[in-house]
Amino acid sequence: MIKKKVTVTNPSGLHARPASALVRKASDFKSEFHIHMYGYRINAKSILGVMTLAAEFGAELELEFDGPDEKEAMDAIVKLFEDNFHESENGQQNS
Amino acid sequence: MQKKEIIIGGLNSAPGIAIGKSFVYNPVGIMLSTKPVSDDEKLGERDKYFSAKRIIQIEIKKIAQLSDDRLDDDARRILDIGREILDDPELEKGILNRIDSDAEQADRAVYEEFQKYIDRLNLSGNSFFRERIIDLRDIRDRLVRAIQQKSLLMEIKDDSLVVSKDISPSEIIQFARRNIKAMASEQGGLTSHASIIANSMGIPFVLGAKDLLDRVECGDQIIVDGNAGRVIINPAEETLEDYKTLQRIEAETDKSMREIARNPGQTKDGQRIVIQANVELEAEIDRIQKYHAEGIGLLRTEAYFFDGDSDKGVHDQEVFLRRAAEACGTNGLTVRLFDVGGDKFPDYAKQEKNPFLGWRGVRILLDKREMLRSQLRLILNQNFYKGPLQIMVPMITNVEEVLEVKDEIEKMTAAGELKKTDWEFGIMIEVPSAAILAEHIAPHVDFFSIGTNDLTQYTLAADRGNPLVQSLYRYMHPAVWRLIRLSNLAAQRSRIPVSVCGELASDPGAACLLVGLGVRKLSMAAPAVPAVKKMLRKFTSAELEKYASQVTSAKSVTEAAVIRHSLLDEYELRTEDQ
Repeated sequence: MIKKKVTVTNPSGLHARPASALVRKASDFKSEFHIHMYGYRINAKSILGVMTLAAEFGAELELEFDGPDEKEAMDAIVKLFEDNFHESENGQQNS
Repeated sequence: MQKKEIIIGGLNSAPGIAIGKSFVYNPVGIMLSTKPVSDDEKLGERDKYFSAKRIIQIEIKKIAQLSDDRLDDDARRILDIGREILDDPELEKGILNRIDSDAEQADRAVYEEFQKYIDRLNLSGNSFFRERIIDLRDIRDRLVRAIQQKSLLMEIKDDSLVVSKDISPSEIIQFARRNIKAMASEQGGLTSHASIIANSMGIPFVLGAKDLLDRVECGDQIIVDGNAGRVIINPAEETLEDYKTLQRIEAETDKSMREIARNPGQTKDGQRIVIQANVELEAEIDRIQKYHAEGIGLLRTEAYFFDGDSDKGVHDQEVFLRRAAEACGTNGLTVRLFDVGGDKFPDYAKQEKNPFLGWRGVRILLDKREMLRSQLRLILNQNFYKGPLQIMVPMITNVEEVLEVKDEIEKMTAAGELKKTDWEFGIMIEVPSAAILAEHIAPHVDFFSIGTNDLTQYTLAADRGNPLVQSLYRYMHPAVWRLIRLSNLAAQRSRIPVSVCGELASDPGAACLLVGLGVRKLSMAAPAVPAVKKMLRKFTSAELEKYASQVTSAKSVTEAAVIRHSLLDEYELRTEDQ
C-alpha cells in the first residue's frame, strides 16, 4: 500500500468534470484507491463517494493505493491533480 | 359559457401541432415494498435490480445515440453522470447488501441506498452537487419503477395531449406507447433528453410553459404548438380555425412522404427491396406500423436479458417477443440471440481490458451453453409467430463457431426440446474475418445479416464512441464496402439472402448503394424507413449498381464519399423535376 498527500488546486474543486475524470482514471487501474479527508475515507472509484466528499479548492487529501499497479495508479492520479484536471480545457473525454 | 382562451409561451422542443383534449399527468408517489425477503428470494431480488439497471443503461445509451451531436456539453455531462452513478461500485455494493443482509426487496433497497447519498448531498454546502440531487432522484425513480414494472400511465388515453410539471425520458418513451398526440411541461430535470426522444418519436413538445398546471384541467381543449413553442388552453373559435388550417398544410406536406412509406420498398424498375426496422426496446415496437416497416430485421434481445432460469427475465423476454411478433404480422421477424458482453455477468468480476475484442456475443453463448439453450427454447416454443421467423447469432468469426451452434441446435431438436421447426438459421457478419471467409460460412447457414456498425469499427480499428478517433470511423471507407460486397457475393453463390442491419442502412444514400451491391433487404431505425423508400424509387437497380461499383473500386475514403454525394445530388435533381 502506498499513500500520498495532495492539495486540491483547481479553482472549482472536485466538481462534476474533475470528479468524473478522477473516477474514470481510477477505474483504469486494478488497485484499490481510497481518499482520506477530514477523517472520512471514501472509495475513489465511486462517483457518489467523490461527490459527497465535496472537496473544495485548498482541501488537503490523502490518497491511498493498494494493489498490483498501485505505483502507476498513483502517478496517473497525482498527475491529474497537478494538471488541475485540465480545468482550462473544454474537451470532453469519452467514457 | 365558453371558457377564456389562455396562451402560455414556452420553448419549442419538438415540432408539430396537435389539437385535442388535455390529460394532466400527475405521477403518484412511489410505494415501496415492506415485506422482508426470504433467503430463497434474494437471488430473484438481485436479478430484478440487475435487469432494471440494464434497462436504464440501455435507455441512457439510446438517448446518447439518438442525440449524436445535438446534445450540448451540459446535457452530455448529465448523461455521463447518470452512467457513472449506475456504474458506481459503492452504490451497488450498498444495494446488494441491503438485499442480502437486511432482507429488503430490490425496490426498497435501491430507494433507501440512493436516499443515503441524497441526504449527504443535501448536507453538503456545495451547490453544484446539491443540483445533482435531481439526477439522482430521476435515476432512482426510474430504477424503482423498472423493478416494480409499474405502468404509471394506465389511465392515459390514446390521442390525449399530456401536460405535466416534469417529464423524464423514460416517461416519454412510455407516453409514446400510448400514442399521445403532444406533450407540454412546466419544467424538466433532464429536459434536453426528453426533447431528443420527443423529436425522434415525432411528438410535438413544448417545454417550460409557466404555471401550466394551475391553468389547465383534465379534459380541457388545448393546442400544443411545438413549432412556435406555445400552449393554448380553451382556444377561441378563430384561433382553432387558424390552427386547423396550419395543421392541414403540415399534413399535406407530410402526405406524399407517408404515401411512399405505405408502399412496399422497391427501385424505380420495380426491383423489390424489403425495408424493415431495428428494435431494441418494447417502446419502439409501435413504430413498426407508424413508419410502415415491413417487419423487424433486427430484434435485439439484450434489454430483456436473462441468465439461466430467472422467471422474471424469461417472462420479460417472452412478452417482448410476443409484442414484436404481433407487430410484424405476416412480415418477417429476425431475432438476434443475446449479444452481451462480460459486463452482463455480475460474477464475472474480472474487468476486461478491451471488451470489444473480448468475451461477447457467440463466445459467451458457447461458453454458457445453458444460456444459449434457454433462449432457443424460449424463442422456439411459442406459437405466436404469423410470419417467417429467423434467428441469428452475433459476433461470428469462423466456421467452427457456426458449426458448434448448429450442433447444439441439432441436439436440442433431436431431443424434442424445440417445438417450432420452420425457421431459418443465420449469422451476423460484423467481423472482417467472417466477411473474408463468407464463402465457406454461407453453405452452413440460411442467411447473412451484415452489422455495419461493428464491421466498420473492427475493420477500421476505430472506436466510434471515442472522440479522438471519431474522424477515422468512416462508413464510406472503401474497405468496409469491399467486405460487404465479398459477403454478398458469397451469399449469392450459395443462394442465400443477405440483409444489412447497421446504421448504414438508415442513410438513404448509403442504403441505395447497398442495393447497388445486390442487397435486397435493409433494416434500420424505424423513422428512417420513409426517406429510404422514397429515394430507392428514384433509381433503377442498374443505375445503383454502377454507383456501388464505383464505391468499391474507390481508392480513398474521400473518393467514395464523393460518389455518395453525387448520388445524392442526382436524387435532388430528380426530386425537383417532378
